[in-house]
Amino acid sequence: MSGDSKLPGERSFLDGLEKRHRRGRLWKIFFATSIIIALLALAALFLNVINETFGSIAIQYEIDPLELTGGRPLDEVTDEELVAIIHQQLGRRFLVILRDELSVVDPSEFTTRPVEDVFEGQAYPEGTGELLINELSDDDVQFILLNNVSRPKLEALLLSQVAKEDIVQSWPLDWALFRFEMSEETRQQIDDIQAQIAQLSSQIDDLDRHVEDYDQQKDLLEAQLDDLERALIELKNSSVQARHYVDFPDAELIRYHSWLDSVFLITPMSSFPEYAGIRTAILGTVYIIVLVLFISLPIGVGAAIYLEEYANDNWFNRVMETNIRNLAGVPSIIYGILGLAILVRVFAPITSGALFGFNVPQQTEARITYNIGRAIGYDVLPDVGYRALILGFEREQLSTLEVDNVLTALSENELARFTANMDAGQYAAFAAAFLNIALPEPDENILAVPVENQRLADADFRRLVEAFFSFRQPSLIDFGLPSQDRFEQAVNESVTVTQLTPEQYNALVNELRQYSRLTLNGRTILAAALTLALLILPIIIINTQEAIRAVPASYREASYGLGATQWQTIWRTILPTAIPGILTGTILAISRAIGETAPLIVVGASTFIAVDPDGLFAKFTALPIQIWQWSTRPQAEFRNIAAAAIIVLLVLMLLLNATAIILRNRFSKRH
Amino acid sequence: MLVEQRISHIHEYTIGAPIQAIKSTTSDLRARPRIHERLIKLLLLLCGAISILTTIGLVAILGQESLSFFTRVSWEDSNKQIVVDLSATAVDNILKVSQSGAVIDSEVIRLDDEELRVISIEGDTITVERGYNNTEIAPHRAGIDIYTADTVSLIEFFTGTEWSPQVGKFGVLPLVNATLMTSFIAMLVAIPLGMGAAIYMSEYARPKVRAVIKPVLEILAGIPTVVFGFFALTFMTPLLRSIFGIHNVEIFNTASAGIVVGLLITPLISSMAEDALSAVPQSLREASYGLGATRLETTIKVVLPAATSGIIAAFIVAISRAIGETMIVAIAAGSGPNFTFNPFAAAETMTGHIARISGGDLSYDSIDYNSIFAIGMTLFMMTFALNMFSRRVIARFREQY
Repeated sequence: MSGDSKLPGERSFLDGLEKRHRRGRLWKIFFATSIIIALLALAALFLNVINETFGSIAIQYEIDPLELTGGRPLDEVTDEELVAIIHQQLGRRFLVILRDELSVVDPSEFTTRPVEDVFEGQAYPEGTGELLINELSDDDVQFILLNNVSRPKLEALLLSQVAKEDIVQSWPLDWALFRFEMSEETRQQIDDIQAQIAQLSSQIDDLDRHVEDYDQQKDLLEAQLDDLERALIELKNSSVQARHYVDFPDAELIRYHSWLDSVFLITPMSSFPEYAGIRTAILGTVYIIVLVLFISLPIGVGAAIYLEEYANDNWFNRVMETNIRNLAGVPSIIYGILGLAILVRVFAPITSGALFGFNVPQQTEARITYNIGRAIGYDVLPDVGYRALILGFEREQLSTLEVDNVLTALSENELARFTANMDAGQYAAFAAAFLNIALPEPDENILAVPVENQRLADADFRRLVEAFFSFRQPSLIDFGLPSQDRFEQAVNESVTVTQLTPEQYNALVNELRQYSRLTLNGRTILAAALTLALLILPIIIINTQEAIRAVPASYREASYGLGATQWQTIWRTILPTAIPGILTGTILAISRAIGETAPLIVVGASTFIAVDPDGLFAKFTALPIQIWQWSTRPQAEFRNIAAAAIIVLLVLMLLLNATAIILRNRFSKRH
Repeated sequence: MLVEQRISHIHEYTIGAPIQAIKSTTSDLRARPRIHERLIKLLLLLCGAISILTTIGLVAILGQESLSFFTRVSWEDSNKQIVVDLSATAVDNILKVSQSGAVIDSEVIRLDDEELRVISIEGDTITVERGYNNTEIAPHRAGIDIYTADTVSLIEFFTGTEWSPQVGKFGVLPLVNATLMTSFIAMLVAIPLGMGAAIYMSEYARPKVRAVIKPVLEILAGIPTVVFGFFALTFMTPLLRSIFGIHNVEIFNTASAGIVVGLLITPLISSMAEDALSAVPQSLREASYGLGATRLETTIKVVLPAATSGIIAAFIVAISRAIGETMIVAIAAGSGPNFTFNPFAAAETMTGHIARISGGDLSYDSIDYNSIFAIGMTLFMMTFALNMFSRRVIARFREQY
């Protein structure tokens, strides 16, 4: 091939041939390698998700459970004692548990409806049916919890609400498997180093007292101290046990913990990773997918039938055909923008349900007013903070557990616990909302937050707002803060208003009324489903067209030959034959819709929905939204639950695909 | 009325009196008017037309909102003041302005609530038309500030290197640059991997091997992109940081996002390119072998050139997908526009920006709301042009064989 002097049989030709074959083999290896790399990437992706879902954790209790039970292990405590301990420790917040766990009425009616309504279908002490919850004796309320809640749930309540378990550290599966144990030698070294550090520190402290003469010696010691501390960090990062030993000696260490368990599936959202679940996200996804299917399947199949069976070759139909092909290539986020502008905004009366009497402003308004009343009722909350709080924590966006945590969070410990799980952005928002409360330092990402109880200098305020908005958006959504303007306004006024007069209260309610109108928009399940339906419509149409095209022409001719009309031919002959193909295509399109995140973000999925969606016009969240939101959090624990949610999402998609295959095989057999 | 008659007519034929129907069909063999068939056709046409409506809606909304983005007036304090009082009469139309402050270069200025159109400027004297845009002519005292109107010009939009709408900087280049960077990195990864895989499957692999590999690669293509985003942040970024040093690579960076986008579009390239390669007639290969070429030589010098257009189309579709990809870059590439060419630095792409901005409760009258449409329009144009181009290329490639 290269050079005309080389002829078959000549030595140079044979050499060249050898070279050519060698090159061929090398390139074959390259080609095969690229496939292997792609497969490895797939494997790495799955392993990475699994690695983050399972692993070790260290759990720290604020109050030792043993202390609560008087030194007895939890197993030996009877149910009655457990309930009594919970009641004793929680005081009035015990009722909050009843409301969140057992009440079947709207939270706003919990204290105003008789017990028989509130706990309908559940056990309550005889003769108390007519009473209000506040009129019950201590024994009665304990009776209700005791008789309606299972033992594991009681233990969970004790640990989460009273002992306040907190996962202080988590490690992925590879650490649990291969880097768990700490050798005796490491322990010795650590003890040794820690002893030395203590000694050096005390020496340095001593020197500090006789300052000038000893500067040089002090520098020397400090250099040694730095070395030791570096060595300690290296050692403690060598294994799970070492880290546990150094940093959290009191925490309970669990080697194999699965972040994905049944509780995770059935609990609603929370901003604490250990209590967070994906119930609302799964429900949101299911609602959306079912709707998408009902909307896009008939329209998609209809359009495909038209294009394949009816359309003549004229310009209109050609444009339609080209157009569908082009739409399939439009980035999904553009569909989100379309959904936002048209479905959410222009068709807001329809998509918000206001046209059909759902979500009318009065209801939202009532809920907000209720919140205000609640906030004022708990006058533990300083007035300066609560305005921002109300704007921030709209009832439906935050579980009552957290609202109560905030409301009773006046002790420093409580606050520390609440803020420890925040990222810097949230911390800034929180700090801004509670400027007159002395905030403990956050773990990392320390922000310079002024804490004086006075109006901030404009420059400081701007800096705070800027700092807040320079962080990722999710933290903003978590706080339900609608926009920068409103945030500024809220904080600004919270800082200046120290005591609310009735006029101010009315003004506040009025403004919130405005606010509720503003939020009354089409950011609902219906809008999301319509957007996704538009997104997958081209895919369904194209797949269905292929399936219809695959039906042999002889079927059609036979049908016409028997005198069938065109529609009869389509309905009785073509569609039944094409159905396996149509179903497969549709299910593939649906599984694409399940994983779509960007359009949902744009049409306004909330990331914090703690109540189940209750229909087409509910605010919603979805699995991919949660995954997105959690994976962008800085704390490792959120990454763990993001991974767990990914597994759920992938399993859901796998199920759908399996259904597609089964359906296809079934229908194929019949025809 | 006519329709009702026809329907009852059909009804009579088909259900009412079968024997009569047979009689009449035998006597009259002309096609009967079938009203419900027509209705069905119309209904199906409507289904198809929804796609056209979608496109119209897309273009209209993007166009309209972008237009309001570009015509949106924001008032800026020029720090110049008028030095002589103005009365509330339209004829009092000459402003004496102070020396200090910015040069007045806009066509419309504002004093309090009144807008004034600038007719001519001579030094510190400005001739204006009072009460412009139907604003009320009001008296103004000396010493009040003059506000100038500022709109986003197309030139500023496409050439400015800073994007921060809150302070009136509207250069889309940082976002476009980040998008192009991630897409470029993605293509650097996806072209060799995808082509290697395509050539192996089409030219080397035995059918049984291919039957296993192909579906597995399709699994890769079917994984939700948010999962890829998680993968980028929790696997690829730490990997890059351990290779290139934790201080050189930021937590959010375009390299990590780009590589993972590359993995995402690899199956797309490999499957489209494999189709193109497989479509090359076997006779071409046989002729090449007959001339003594090795398999590699046949592949490189005969099969690849013959499949060029299909392969190029695959690349273009892949680029368009990479440009429009949102979740991976939203999670892993960073938030906050940054005009940089350093792949290890955080930079926000167009899609990432739209996702972040619209992630909050965006209020409809904000500049952010309008800006996502301007960015969306840019994005839509880019991907639309690429898609059209690839369809052209594919059409040419189909004609060849």
